[in-house]
Amino acid sequence: MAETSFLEVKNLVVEYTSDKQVIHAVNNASFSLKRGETLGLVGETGAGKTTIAKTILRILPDKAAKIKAGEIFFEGEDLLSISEEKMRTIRGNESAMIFQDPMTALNPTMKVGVQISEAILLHNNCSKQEGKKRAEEMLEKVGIPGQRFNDYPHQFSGGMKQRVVIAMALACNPVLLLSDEPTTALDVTIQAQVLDMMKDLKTEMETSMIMITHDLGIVAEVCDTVAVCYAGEIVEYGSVVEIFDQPMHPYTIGLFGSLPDMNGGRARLTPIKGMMPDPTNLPKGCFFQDRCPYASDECRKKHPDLNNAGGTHTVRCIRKGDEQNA
Amino acid sequence: MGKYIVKRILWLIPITLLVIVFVYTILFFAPVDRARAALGMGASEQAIAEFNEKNGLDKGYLGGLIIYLKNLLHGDFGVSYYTSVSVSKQILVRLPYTVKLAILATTFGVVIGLPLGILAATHQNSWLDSLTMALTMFFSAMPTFWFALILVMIFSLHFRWLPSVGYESWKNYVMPVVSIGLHVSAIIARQARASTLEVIRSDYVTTARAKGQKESKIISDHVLRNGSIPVITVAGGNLAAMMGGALLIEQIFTIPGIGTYLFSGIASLDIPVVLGCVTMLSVFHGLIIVLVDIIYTFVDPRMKVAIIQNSAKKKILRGGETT
Repeated sequence: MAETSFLEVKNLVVEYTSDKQVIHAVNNASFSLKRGETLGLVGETGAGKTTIAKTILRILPDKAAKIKAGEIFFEGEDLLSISEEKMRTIRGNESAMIFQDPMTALNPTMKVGVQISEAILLHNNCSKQEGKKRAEEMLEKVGIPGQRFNDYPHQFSGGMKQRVVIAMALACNPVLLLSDEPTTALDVTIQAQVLDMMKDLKTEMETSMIMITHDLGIVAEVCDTVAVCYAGEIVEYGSVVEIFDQPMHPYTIGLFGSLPDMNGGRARLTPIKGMMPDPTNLPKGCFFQDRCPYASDECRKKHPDLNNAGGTHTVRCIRKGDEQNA
Repeated sequence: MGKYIVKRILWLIPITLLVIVFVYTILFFAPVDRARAALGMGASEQAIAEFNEKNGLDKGYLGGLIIYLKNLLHGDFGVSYYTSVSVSKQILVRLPYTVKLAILATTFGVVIGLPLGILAATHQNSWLDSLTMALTMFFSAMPTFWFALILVMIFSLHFRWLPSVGYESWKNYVMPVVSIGLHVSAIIARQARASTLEVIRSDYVTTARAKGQKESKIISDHVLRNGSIPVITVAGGNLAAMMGGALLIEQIFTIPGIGTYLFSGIASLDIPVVLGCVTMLSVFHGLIIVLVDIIYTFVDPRMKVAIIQNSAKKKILRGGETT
């Protein structure tokens, strides 16, 4: 841990307000990322993964969402306390986001090339021609002929659109890339292509990345560290090797249990029973208590802290490493 | 694209024919003795027979229709039963007033309504939004003729700034345009607000934000174009409807447009007058809808594909058409 982390999220709390109800979307999330590394944010729908990414870019919906507490240090600066103008120079420039659904992430009435050069022109002092040239280069980079600069999104397939979205995010060589389930909306065959391309581009541009996904296969392939999210908090955190070799939190273990085994070891998948707790009414004690096969009285009384479990591995469970062979 | 436009325009012919047949049928079977209405109760049998022969009323339903259509083919709209004045001449004289009023009022509506609606949407739930919504609610619910009369009371009777009747000077058009235009602008503002709100919440606006784009540029570059599509529908529908003349407004300000003419024709069941106006109206209506569809393809590139390849798809994309 000689390198200092260049992104550090500390005790982040984000709430949404809807119909006077408070939705606890992110609860005390902390993690850090080193330059060039990839962190996987894993968890089921509604675990607060996307909210965390949007908070880092400060693009949460103004009125509905509220950042209640926490700090986000990006290259030494607290992103949550800088001005909006300053933030705009970071967005799309040093830090960019790839969105989940390429079908809706592109403006249907704007040429794709213009959408890519928009970011280039915003953050670089260059002429329109220069911006166009660089946008064409970006298209080529993601495997789309530069002549398609003048085409509209509806003239592209889903996979091609996602490439455009990626080209858009990478247009200004960001040092931090937030990928929000970049392959979820795509066909399995296209998924692999897009993922490979992202990996190559990331290495080429030396970008750090936060990969939001619920696909553990993607995590194994592209991530260095993993943060498992549950009900807006991080329940397990560690390197890919640590998490995959020794998952400790019952939720993480459950996630692995619901994966198909290619070696035919199991006949049936074991889903995690039950639902995530209502984010407007989180239980006292551990958030996973209702679905946990090991829940005890203590779990219902006290909210567990993140405990160290050796190395960089931390886990939010009172059982910690007791049953590592589970 | 050109082929498509020609096809759409050719389609207007059967549609207009159908409209003519419908309207003719209704008017023909209306229980009125036109000859006696025109010549007076004391008219002689011979005068009545002459009247009926002159106007083709003795040929029966089908005969009359065929004669009318035959004349129409030569550009002859016939003459009024009662005044014997050529209908086509009357329409040509009156059309400019109606077109002027329709275009001015619709332009007024868009120029006032569109920015107001966008402003209300970008300041959603603020006092500005509430005020705009309250005003537009009032102006869209309020009948235009009532507002026109209020304007006459204030600006003609009290201040004596504007003339209440006539059609010569631009001053004559201020009150008619404002009274219709405010109503149109209220409807357009509400539509613009709703569609802008929808676009603002869309993913590609978040994408633009994530690029570091300024809020003002997001509105002008990303929101305006996408949000204006339903507004074009409303504005186009309004313009088309107004081609039939703003009946009451033309009456109040005595503007000799199509509206007053059509109204007098309907009141006296004067078949050539009504048919002439309706034919003209349906042709204009059709042309404006074609025009609106062409504008769509410039605003939204997806429309081009949708409109040319599949007219069924077009209806879905355009959404419910409101006039």
